[in-house]
Amino acid sequence: MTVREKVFLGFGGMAVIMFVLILYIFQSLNVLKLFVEEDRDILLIQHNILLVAILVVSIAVGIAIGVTRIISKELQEMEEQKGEFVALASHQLRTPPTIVKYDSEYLLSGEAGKLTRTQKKYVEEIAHANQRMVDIIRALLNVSRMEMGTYSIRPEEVDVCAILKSVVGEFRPAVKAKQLKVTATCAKIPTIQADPRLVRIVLQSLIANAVKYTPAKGRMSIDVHVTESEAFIEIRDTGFGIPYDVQDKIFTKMFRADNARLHDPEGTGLGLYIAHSIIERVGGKMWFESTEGKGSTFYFSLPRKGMKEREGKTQLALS
Amino acid sequence: MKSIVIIEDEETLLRMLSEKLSREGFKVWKALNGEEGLHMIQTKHPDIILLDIIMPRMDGMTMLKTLRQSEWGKDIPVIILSNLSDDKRVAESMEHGVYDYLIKTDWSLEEVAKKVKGKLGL
Repeated sequence: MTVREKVFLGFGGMAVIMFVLILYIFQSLNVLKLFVEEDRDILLIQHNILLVAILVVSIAVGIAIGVTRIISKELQEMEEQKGEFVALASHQLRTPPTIVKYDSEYLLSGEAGKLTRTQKKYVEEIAHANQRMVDIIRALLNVSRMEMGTYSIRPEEVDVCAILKSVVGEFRPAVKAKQLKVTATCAKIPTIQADPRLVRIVLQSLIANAVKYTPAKGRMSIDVHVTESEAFIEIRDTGFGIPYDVQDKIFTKMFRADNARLHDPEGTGLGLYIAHSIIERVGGKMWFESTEGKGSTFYFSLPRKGMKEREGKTQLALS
Repeated sequence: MKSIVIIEDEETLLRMLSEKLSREGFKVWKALNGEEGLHMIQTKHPDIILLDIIMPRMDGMTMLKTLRQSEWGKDIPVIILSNLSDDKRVAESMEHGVYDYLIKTDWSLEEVAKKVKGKLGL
């Protein structure tokens, strides 16, 4: 329940209580008969009290509406200020890594003079660490936008298979380097109403994990199918798996299982949290099955229709 | 030789972008804020503009609006290069006819140069 709704209910409840109380007093005023001689006078007094009761309740409702409007406006202003703060903070946070990015790119291009092999290695390390920082900033900004509810959702007719193909393509170098066997089954399926950027972010996160946490020469398979109301996506790997005792924490913000830290110390623990939150937000479901040492299968569903459009300060950033 | 005005308040970035585009064969003019940028554009008539958003004295969005109201600046292609990524500013800049809106950390110098050259058909 929002603060606005709570305030409105509070004032509304107060008005109803007052109304009942006044009616009770009104009924109790039969006692007036003891002091007033004519029944006609009692009726007049009761009539006047009823008018006062209606007036008081009207004023209470009026105040409730007025206060709700003021609070609503203040909340809206606060939301705008928070959004503006994140926008400006993102600008400030991203500027220093941009300088490091440009400088290392310039040095590596050799245009500032040829680097020795050792110098090149160091500059590559700087560029790599800088890219990690950019990725962390992007993920944290996404989390902040999600928690403030300031990101936009823009559903359109989406071909999930086309997005999947494109995302799998992004990981081709890593897949090749680890000699993973990847199969993607995406039969000719109808388009769904969804925000393509959000679908891409979720797929990027799940496929990145499958690639990262599957040992060399392992297997990955991705399957998409559609029912009358939903699209189902399944991403299976023969990776390290998630230890049973931490499986209930896997969608928690910044949580990383020990075996994940061991195999990839650079992860942020935000990818699954973001993916899961997006899916929940747009009316889908995400779940998984995993056995340590054998592999994991992540599933998510998306409503084929009904992803609601939402205006927002910004879109979530892609990897 | 094609010419470009780069408007960017972060001096290191301005220097890096300027050096890169000079090496790519552009005549480059530099400005540290929107006010300087407008003056530069009015006097130099560049083929394209690379514009930051958050700057002192006059920010990029105000400069863009002023530019589009002038006879001499209403048709010059503009590429925004900023680390500010909110929808409102992106939409607003698109309404004022910018060619593209690039987030600095997502684009390398090489890619920015390609984008600029692509717009000019080079």
